[in-house]
Amino acid sequence: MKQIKKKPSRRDFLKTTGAAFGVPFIITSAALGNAERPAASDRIVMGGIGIGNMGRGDQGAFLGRRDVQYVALSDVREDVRNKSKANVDGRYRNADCQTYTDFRELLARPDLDAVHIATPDHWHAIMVIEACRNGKDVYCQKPETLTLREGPLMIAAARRYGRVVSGGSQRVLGDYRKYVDPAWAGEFGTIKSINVNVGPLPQLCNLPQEDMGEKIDWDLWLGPAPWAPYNSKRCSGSFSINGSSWRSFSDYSGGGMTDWGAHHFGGATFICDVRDLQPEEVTYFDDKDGKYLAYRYPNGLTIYHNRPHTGNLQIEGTPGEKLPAKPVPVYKGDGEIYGDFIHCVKTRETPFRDIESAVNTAVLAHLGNIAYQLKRSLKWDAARQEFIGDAEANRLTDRARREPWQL
Amino acid sequence: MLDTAFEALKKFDWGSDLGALAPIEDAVTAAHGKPEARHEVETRLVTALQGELSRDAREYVCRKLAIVGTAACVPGLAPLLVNPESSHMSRFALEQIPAPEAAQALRDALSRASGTVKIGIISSLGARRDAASVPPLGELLQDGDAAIARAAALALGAIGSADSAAVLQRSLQAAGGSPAPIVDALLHCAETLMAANKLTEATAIYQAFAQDNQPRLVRLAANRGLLACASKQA
Amino acid sequence: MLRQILPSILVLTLLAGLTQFVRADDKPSDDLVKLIIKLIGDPDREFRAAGLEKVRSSAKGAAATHLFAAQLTKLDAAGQIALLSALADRRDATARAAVLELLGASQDEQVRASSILALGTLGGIADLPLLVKSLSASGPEQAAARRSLVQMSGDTVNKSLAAELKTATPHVKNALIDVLSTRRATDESPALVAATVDDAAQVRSAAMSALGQIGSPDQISALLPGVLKAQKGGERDHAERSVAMICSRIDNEDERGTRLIEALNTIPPADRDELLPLVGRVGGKKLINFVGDIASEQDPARRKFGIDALSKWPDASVADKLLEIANKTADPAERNQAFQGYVKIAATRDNRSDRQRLDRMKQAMKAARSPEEQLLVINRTRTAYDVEAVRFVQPYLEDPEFAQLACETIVEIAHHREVRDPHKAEFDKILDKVIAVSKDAVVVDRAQRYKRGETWERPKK
Repeated sequence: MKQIKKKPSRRDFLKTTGAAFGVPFIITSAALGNAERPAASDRIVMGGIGIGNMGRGDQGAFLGRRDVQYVALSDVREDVRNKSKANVDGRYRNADCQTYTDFRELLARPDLDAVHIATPDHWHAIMVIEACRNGKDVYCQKPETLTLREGPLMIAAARRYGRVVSGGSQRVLGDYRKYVDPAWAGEFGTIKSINVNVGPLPQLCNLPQEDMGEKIDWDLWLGPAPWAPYNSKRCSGSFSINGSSWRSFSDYSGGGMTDWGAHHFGGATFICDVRDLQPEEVTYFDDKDGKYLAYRYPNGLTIYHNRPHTGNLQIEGTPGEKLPAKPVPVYKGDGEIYGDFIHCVKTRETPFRDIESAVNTAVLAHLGNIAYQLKRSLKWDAARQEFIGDAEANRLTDRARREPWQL
Repeated sequence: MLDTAFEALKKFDWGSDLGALAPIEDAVTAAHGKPEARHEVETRLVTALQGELSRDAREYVCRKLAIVGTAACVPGLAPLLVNPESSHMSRFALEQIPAPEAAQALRDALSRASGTVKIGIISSLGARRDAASVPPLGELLQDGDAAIARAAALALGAIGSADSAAVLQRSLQAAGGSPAPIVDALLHCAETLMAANKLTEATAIYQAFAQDNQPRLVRLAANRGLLACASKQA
Repeated sequence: MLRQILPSILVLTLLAGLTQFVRADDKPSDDLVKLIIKLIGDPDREFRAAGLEKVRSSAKGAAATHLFAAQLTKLDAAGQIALLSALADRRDATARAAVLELLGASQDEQVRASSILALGTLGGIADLPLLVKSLSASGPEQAAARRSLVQMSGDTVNKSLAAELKTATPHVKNALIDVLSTRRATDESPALVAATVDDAAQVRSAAMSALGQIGSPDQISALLPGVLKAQKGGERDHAERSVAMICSRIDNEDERGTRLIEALNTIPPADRDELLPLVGRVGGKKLINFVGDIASEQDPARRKFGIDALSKWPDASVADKLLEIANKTADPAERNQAFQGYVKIAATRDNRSDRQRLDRMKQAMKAARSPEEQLLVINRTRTAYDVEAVRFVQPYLEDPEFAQLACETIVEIAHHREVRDPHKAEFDKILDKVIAVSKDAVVVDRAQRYKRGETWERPKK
């Protein structure tokens, strides 16, 4: 574990003096442009945290933009840091990209305008909040949260410091237009229900110790999660959700329920225009057809999860009813979800996948995971962010973070 | 089945079959709304915790106590708090157990802990929004270890009461300047006060930070807060 | 459980989203309005954004809107653009007059575009002629007018847009069709159907695209003249795909076939064969019968259309027919067309298993009569995500004539982790061979990545 240094470090200095709010160390175009950038610096100065797998793709998308200057990256794997730096330097034909093992050092850089985050999910809340505290805008991969408590704290940090914080599901708008367009045009009439087929649930990881076949800061990879021995599957970033990557394990992820659920639940809430809402009840079914859920919304909508004999995103509308059409919200700027984020960084508008919508989507997955874990129906008070009349369920809204990590 | 599972727990370690512990998981879930069943499973978990267990098995027990634990299990968990190897998982349970005894155990451990373990305990008190922790956390704002002082500030921000705001404000005046963690914590407090309709108190915090001598990001946050307060007054 | 109540900021943020903090009829305080106005004039865009956020969502009422809109003339261009966007989101028509005034006065193209965009939510049917006129502009004003018209609400907007379609220039017609399509103006689809036989190819294509999105199966027969009018090649393919998309909205396969046949029967027999490729794109058992026994067909023109139809089938159910034609024909061109069609649909990723797809590829390889045909098979084998497919292609690495394409096919299959991981040792060995043989740097890089267990990102087209 990287211990907090007794000798004052630059970071300590930042913390104790409040210099994080003060004058930048390096005078760059971005720093000069706190109020208004020089014309040439319409570029957004960016860094990335977690550059394996999805992070590599995100980096590529930002790196390919003329209006972005990519200057720093952080990853706990040496190999990833080196390759990623080579990629960035190759693009700019220089050797300027700085690498960091510890993301806090990257976030303390005053010249960065924005960061993208694609670490495992157990890191998202801490990093997003810390980025906001440092005045950075954030593009955070989905699923944005690991627990129910994290979401509101992330939203609060974003709003407190006026940061643009975008979630990362590119599929919500990209993949489901064939349902979204007729739904927003009112062609289904009042939508009574929609079904989401996604899974599996997360599982506890009990994999044995393996020899560390890679150069990785293991303690920093674990971060706020419970200590566990190194195992390559435990920390693999592969996209599989069958037990061979961190996406399967409850200490780091909500399993397929959150991993793909961020897309599918996100699509369902978009189709039904309830992105600003959270459900008020989750009914748990365990019958001859298997286990499934029904989420009831305050407006009467039901979102099913794994409803038997029902296709993914299958919609039950109101036949014969045509509702007034509403314009479909779309990405701003150019370049899909990445372009939308960059546009909003420049204009300070709200991104399509604003952190609040993203959190509301993740809430569905988390409520579902808790209902399946406890094998019972739950009532959810969205305003108070607590389960009604179920003390044990409330204990699952968050979990203690391993020291020294704190929200 | 349950007996067999608790026997398996004694030999459980990383790489063991998790399925062998499934009856414990089932017993924890089934104890909902059944005080006697809950008491029984909690007792068995505490007994197991006091025996010889691997680190993995001990952590498993703490995960379950996080769901069914009561004041009764606190004496079993409290000694683990100051041990760097077990502190986190002890908090994993104690942070979630609503009994006041759990908060007391965390507060008691503050004086015995140091370094990152102490930071963890501070963060758990913050997550619990434990009002009784405000005085000791206030003292820690002056700690020589910057990381501990930061943790205390963030915990006071999370507690978000008028008392915690007052402690933070006193510390701010004493420190001079605008230490980022204290500012962040006070802004956090202001949001909580505003949500509780204590607009005068919240506005006062924001106005102090909206002054020209404050760093840009702080002024921005303060102006945003003032807007929110004014919107609420409208 | 009170202890679990999250910091009240949460309540604050959620209440802001879940309910309304400020009721619409509440009068905002002077302090709030003053603070907003002060901030929207701030030179720092983040401070400005804080004020604009409240213009969007807070301080309700016409009086405040009037005050906010009055700031437009006091700001620089960047400030004007930002405030216009916020006023548009505020959706209070009180601001419309100020927006129109700015549109008339500003020489800045971006400010004008933002004004036009704001009219989409602040204006109404009275602004429609201005917006339609702006569609004939270029650059940001045209794009803004298009977005504005998409957003404009009102019962008669769609009807008015459809009416404009009759007299507009092709350029504006295109834009109007796009707007009607995005608005999903199904009630006005007759105007779109009429546009499918427009004299301008770009208008025809735009109308077909639109109907592909919002057309109804009742319109299939009305669209067939448009398919026939489309120029052969890209426009015809596009028209066929659009009509096939409408057909796909009929869930029942038999009914789908019946409806299309009914529509085809409304077309003069002389033109009907030309629509066979469309029949192929729709597919289904009923339409197989409609296409008939092409292998025995004597009319060469009908044979050509028929083979084209079978080659476009959405699944492999007509594969044997194509192979039969390819094997029987004495005409080299027809052989080429039928064999290509066979390999294409045999490789289609339909409901068959990967092993079944591979079996078809093996069958195709046996039937291949030239290296070109063999290359075709090696290429298409990449759609069988199966280790056996790699084993099938591997021997071709040894033959210089086929080796490069075999390398590509192997890395395409190796791309699929679920195929690669269970046979890692075998894949590593074959990928080593690919690395040694391939002359394509991308293929070599991919092979190296897969050996290391990494992902390769396909460049976007």
